[in-house]
Amino acid sequence: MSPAMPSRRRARSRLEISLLFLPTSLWLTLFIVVPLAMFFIYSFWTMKDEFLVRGFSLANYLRFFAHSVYPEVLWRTFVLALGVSGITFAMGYPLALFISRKSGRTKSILYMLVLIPLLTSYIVRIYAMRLILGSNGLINNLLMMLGLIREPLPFLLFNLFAIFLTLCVILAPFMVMPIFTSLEKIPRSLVEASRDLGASEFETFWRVVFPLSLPGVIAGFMFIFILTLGDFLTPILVGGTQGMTFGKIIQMNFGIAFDWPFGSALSVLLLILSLLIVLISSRFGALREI
Amino acid sequence: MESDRSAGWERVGRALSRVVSPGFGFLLFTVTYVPILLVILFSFNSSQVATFPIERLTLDWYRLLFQNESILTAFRNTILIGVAAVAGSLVIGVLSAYFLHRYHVRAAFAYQLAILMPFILPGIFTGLALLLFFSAAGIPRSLFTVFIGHIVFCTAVVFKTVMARFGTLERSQEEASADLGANALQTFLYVVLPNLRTALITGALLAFVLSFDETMITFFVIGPQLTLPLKIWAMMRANFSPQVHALASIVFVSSTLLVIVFSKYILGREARR
Repeated sequence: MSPAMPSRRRARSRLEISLLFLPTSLWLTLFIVVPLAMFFIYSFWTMKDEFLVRGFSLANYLRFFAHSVYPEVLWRTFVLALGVSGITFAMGYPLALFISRKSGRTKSILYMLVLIPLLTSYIVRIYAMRLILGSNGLINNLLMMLGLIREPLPFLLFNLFAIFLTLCVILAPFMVMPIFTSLEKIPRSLVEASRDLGASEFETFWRVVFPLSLPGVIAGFMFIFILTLGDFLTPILVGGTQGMTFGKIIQMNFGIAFDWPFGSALSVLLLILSLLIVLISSRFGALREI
Repeated sequence: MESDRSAGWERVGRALSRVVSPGFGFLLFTVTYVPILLVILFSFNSSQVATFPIERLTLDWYRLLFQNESILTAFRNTILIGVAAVAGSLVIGVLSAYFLHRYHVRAAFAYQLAILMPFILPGIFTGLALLLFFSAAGIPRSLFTVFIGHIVFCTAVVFKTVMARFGTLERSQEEASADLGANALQTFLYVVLPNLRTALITGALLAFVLSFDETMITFFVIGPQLTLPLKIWAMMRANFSPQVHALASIVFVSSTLLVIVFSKYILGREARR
C-alpha cells in the first residue's frame, strides 16, 4: 500500500480486508482447524473404566508400538495401497493415453465414461462387488458354467484380496483423471518436434510424453494411497473378519470398541502419514494436476 | 544396425498405441461398469436375493421404493442438506478465494491447505474431527451437524473451481473498475462476479453431486435422521431389500443424465463464446 494513499481509502480497504478475512477465517478455525486439533488433544487422553480421563498421557501412542498388531496392520494397509495404485496405474495410464490421443467428441465421451462411475453411490459400488465375487456371484457362476470348478471358490470374498480387488475397481477413475489432465497439458508441438527430429513413436513417448506426465502419475498415486489408507467402508462391506485395514481399526475404536482417545492417536498417526504423502507429492507438482 | 533397432522400437510403439492401450482401456471400462450394470440388472429381478439365474423381470422394487416412507424422507433430507450446503459453501468459498485473489497474503499456502484439507484427505478425518468437536461442544448429532460437515468439504470444491477461474482472470478489469470510481463492493458485484458465473455453476453442481453421495463424513456426524447413502447403508446391514438396487439404479441414471445435460448445455455454450 503506497503511503500517498488517502487515509479514507486506506481505512475502507482495511474494512474490506476484515470483512473478507474475518468470516472465512473464523469458519476455517472453528470447523477445520479446531476439530483437527481435537485429534491431538484427545490422543493424549485415556479411557478408564469407560470414563474419559482428561490428562496428559502417552499411553495411546505407546500402545500402538507395544502391540505388533497395529504397526502390522498399518504396514499391510500400506502394501495394499501400493498394490492398488500399481494395478490402477498399469491399467489407467494406457487408458488416459488412449483418450488423450482422441479428439473432439470421442475424447469427451470417453473421458465422461471414466468419470460417470464416480456418480454412482460409493457404497453401492462396493456392495456390487459382492454380486461379482460372492459364492453365488458372477465369477463363480461363470466358472461353474464353463465347468472349470465344481464348488464356488470361497477365497474371492471377505478377505484382504476382496478389499484389494474392490478398491482397484472403485478407485481407478482417481488414477485416470490426473494422468489425463497432465497429458492434456503437453503441447502437441513438443511431440511433433520429437518426431521431426527422427525419434520413433516409442522414443517420443518414453523421452518426451511420459516424463512430462509424471506430475499426474504422482497425483494419481497420492489419491489412491490416501483414499486406501483412510477407507473403512470397503473393509466393512467386503473384508469380512480377516480383511483388516488401518481405517477399519480407527473406525472400530470410534464404534464398537468405544475408545476415542486410542482411535484419535491412530488417526493422528494416519493423518501425519497422509499429510506427508500430500506434501511429498506436491513437491513434484502433483497438486496442480487435481 | 542402428536403423534395425529404431524400426524395432517403431513396431513396439505402434503395438503399444494400437493394441495394448485400447485393450487396457477396454478392460478398465469393463471392470468399472460390470458391477454397476449388475446392480441395474438385479433391480429388475423378482428374487429377494441377488443371485443368478435371474428369476423373472419385475418393476416391483421400484414400486415399493416409491411407497417406502423412510426412503422418501431420507431422499428429502439429502436434497435439503445438499441445497443448504451448496448455498453456504458458495458464500464461504467465494469470499475466501476472492480474499486470496485480491490480497497478497503471506500464509496463503497454509490458508489454502486448510480449506482444501477436507477435499484432499479422506472423509474419515473430517468426519471424526467434527465428531470430536461436536461432542466436546455439546452439540447433539443431527441433520445440522451433517449440514456443517457437508459445507466443510463443499467449500473446498467451490474454492478450487473459483480459484482456478481467478487464475485466468485479468486483473486489469478490476483496476479499470476501481479507476472509474467503483468501490470494492461494486467492483465485486459488477465485474468480478459475472466473470465467475461458469465457475460458480460448475462448483455448485459438483458440490451438490458430491454432497448427494457423501458417506464417510456423514457416517460419523449423522443423527437419528438419515440421508440417502446412510439409509442405503442401514438397509444393507439389516433386512436387505432389492429396493437398494432400484434406488442405486435411479441415482446412477439421474446423476449421469444431469452431468451430460450440464456438459452439453453449460460447457457447450462456453466453448461457443
